[in-house]
Amino acid sequence: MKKTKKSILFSIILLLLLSSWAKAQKIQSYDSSYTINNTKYLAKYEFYLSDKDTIYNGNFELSQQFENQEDIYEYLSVDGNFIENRADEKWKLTEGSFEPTGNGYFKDYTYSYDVNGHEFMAIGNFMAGKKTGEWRLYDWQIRNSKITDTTLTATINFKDDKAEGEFLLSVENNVLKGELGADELTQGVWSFYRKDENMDRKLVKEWVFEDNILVKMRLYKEDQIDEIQIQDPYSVNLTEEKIELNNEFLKIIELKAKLYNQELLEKYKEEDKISHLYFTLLDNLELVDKTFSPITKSSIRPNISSKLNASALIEKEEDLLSEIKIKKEENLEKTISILNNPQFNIASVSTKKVAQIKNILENINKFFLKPTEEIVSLHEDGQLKFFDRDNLVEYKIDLKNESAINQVLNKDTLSANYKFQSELSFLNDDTQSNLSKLSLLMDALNKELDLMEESLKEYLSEIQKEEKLIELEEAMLAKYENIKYLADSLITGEHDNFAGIDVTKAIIDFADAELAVYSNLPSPAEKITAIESVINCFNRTEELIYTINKAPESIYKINEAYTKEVFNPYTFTNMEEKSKPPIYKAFNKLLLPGIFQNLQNLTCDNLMAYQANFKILYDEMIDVLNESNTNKMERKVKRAKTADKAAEILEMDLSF
Amino acid sequence: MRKFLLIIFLGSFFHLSAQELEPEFEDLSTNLWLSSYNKFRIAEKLYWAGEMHYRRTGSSENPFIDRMAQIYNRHGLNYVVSPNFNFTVGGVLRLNFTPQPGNTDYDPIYIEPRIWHQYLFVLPFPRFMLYNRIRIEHRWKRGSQASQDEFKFGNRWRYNFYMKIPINGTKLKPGTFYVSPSIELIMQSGQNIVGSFVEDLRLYGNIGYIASPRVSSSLGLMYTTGQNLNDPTLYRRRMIIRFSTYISLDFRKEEQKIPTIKFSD
Repeated sequence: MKKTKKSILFSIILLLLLSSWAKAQKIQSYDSSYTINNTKYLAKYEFYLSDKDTIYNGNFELSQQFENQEDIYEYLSVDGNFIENRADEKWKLTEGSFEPTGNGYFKDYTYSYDVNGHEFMAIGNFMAGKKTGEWRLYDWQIRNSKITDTTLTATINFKDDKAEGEFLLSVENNVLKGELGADELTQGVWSFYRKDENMDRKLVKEWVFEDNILVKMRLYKEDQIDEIQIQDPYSVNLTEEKIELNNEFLKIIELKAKLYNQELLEKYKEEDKISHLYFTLLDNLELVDKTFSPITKSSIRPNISSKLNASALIEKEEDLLSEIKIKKEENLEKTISILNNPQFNIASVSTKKVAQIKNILENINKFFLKPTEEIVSLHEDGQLKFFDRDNLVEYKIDLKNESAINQVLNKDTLSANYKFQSELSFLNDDTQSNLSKLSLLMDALNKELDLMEESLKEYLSEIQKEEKLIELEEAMLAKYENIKYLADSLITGEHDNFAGIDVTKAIIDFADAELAVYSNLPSPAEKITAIESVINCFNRTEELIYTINKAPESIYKINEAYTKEVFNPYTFTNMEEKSKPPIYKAFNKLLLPGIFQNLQNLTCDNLMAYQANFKILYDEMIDVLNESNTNKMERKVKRAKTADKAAEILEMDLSF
Repeated sequence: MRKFLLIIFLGSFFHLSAQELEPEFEDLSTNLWLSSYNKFRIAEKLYWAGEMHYRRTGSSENPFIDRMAQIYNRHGLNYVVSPNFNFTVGGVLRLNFTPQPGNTDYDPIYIEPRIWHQYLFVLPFPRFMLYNRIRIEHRWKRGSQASQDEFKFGNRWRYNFYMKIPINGTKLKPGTFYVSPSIELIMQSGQNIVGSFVEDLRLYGNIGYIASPRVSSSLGLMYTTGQNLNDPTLYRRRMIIRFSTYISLDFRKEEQKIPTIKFSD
């Protein structure tokens, strides 16, 4: 027994000796610049070195003050304590900005100014490096160096470094009061108040958590309380799943609420301040962390989570969703392919039927494919398990019956008469789940899109033909105008002199007549058949004009060829004389006017023959000139009265 | 002094001559000459020239056409050396008709043969043609009294200056009217020519029309004057209406006549 007492006594003495040895380590002070995240501060702290490591121990002060580019002074200060490198006791963060205001004043040998600005302050306690107790945050406005308005007040309780217990946030007139349970899980009732003029709180909204799960949302309006139930999926095998309270969570909650309380939710959203204040609180805590965390190695901002009941997807549902995804993508591709077709888009502006199809395609995309995509997306994000699938599908797409589908497509007046052509009888089968119906709807849409595409192709082909007709008509009219222009510019009085008629008028009259015949065709189909031959005819008319334009050259060549020089032995000069005068006379008086006068009887059928006359006449006249004995021909042709008779005598293959 | 005496002498001579040889003019007689001029091309530069004149003479009662005067046949070979020069050589047979029809002292018709050759110089101008013709005729001529008159050889020296000026254009070509002023001096020499060297001075103006390179015609009025053969102081005067046709035909082979076809390009 004595031995035991001795050993305890020895141990105590040894412990005391060791602690005095420890305390005997050299405490040093630092008072100089200090860099955190590339920002320089002035620091003043106590520390000692242990194996070349700096161990904070004692008071810790950090400050920074500067004038920014807008001539506003900014400042920041941290005041805390470390014990053996761990934050301990009270810590305070102050940061703000100010600018001088008013006239300065001299006092105690100092010239001073009042300032305007704002100040943010966070105060809380650590115990052995862990947050503990109540932490308070303030943000207030400063006018003339006095606090005038507190714009933000927040308190949050910590226990063993985790947020737990009540928290409160007051921003201007809005107050959020809530509770966190163990492991920073949502708990109890989160209330949103609005302060009235007397600074009395008035309850506006509540989130009610049961077993960390948000089960209902209440909206207080005057004496009425509206309650939105957040339903769990219908299943006997529900599992609780922890989920961070962030925007994703809120979206899930919103969608869950919509499934049953669409209208109420809309009303509720008008007063949706809870989430806003919640995020404001987190933002302010994050602001504290920005400075504190590098120093204290601890984060003030809690990782608040909530819980949701989930119903895991069964294999059939997984298969259906995979199918739905593939079919939806195929349908979307088809829809976009049609909608992006430039010809389709152009036609949709001018053609009612195409505009209707466009409208239907847009409706299919908006009311069937997009919601389906949202369902698939929820599945891919692992959130579908939180919803009742039947309800979710029903909420997204009305799959009651065929008329419900048609109703969706008939929403616009443009597509009011459209009827879904594919088979939709499966919608009436109550034994099928909505996911299964959705999968079948995707098949039906696929067929419907095929039918629409086919009908559209046919219709666009008709439009193309009509457009082609319009193009051809434009080309035809351009040709017609060109004929008039060419006739006016290339055919002159010289041609009229040879012809003995107004050649320009004859050609323009012909073009006018052809155009009139075309215009009087009763149907587009007949016009499509006729127009190319009219254009060809006009092309040949242009060639005819060019031929006529060049005719004088040939005429003069013939004239020259038939002209010989004869020496006159009385005047002793050379004189011109025509060879084979009867033939030349027939050429001048009958044949040439004859082929010109043909132009008064032009048709598309005889046009080429009449054009060829010009070359034939030229060639034949040269041939006749070269014939050695044409006396008989000359005698006969003297008696010819008409062009065709003269041509027959001279054996010229001319058309009249 | 000698020179002075010579001038006085010569001056006296002329004065004396002027007193002795006073020129006199016969009454103006009138004639109508219808002429056919023909040229037949027989080679590239060679033509057969044949002229026939039908001449009538007028009286106071019946001017221009009263009685036959002459029928005139002139033939020759015309060689066109160049467009500016040609010459002709040939013969003429002129038939003269009696000046007093019914008077048996006169032969009703008697001949006057000639040999002739002429040289024609052609000067072309942009707007007209100018001709200088020298014609020399060697003739055997006698009076109309068959029993008394004998053929006597003589020469005629003719110089003709004439122009052809187109009226309705700038060139002489088919369809052209032209005016042709002409002046011809005919001198003569020979056995019986004593003082009447100037046989005729012809001032002739006519208007012609070229119907084709081969046919043209003209109508004109000619005034002539010349010394009487027997009395050089006596000047004959005539006013002659002339109508002429000018024919030229190509008698070459057909192949030679086909013109070459010309093309501008």
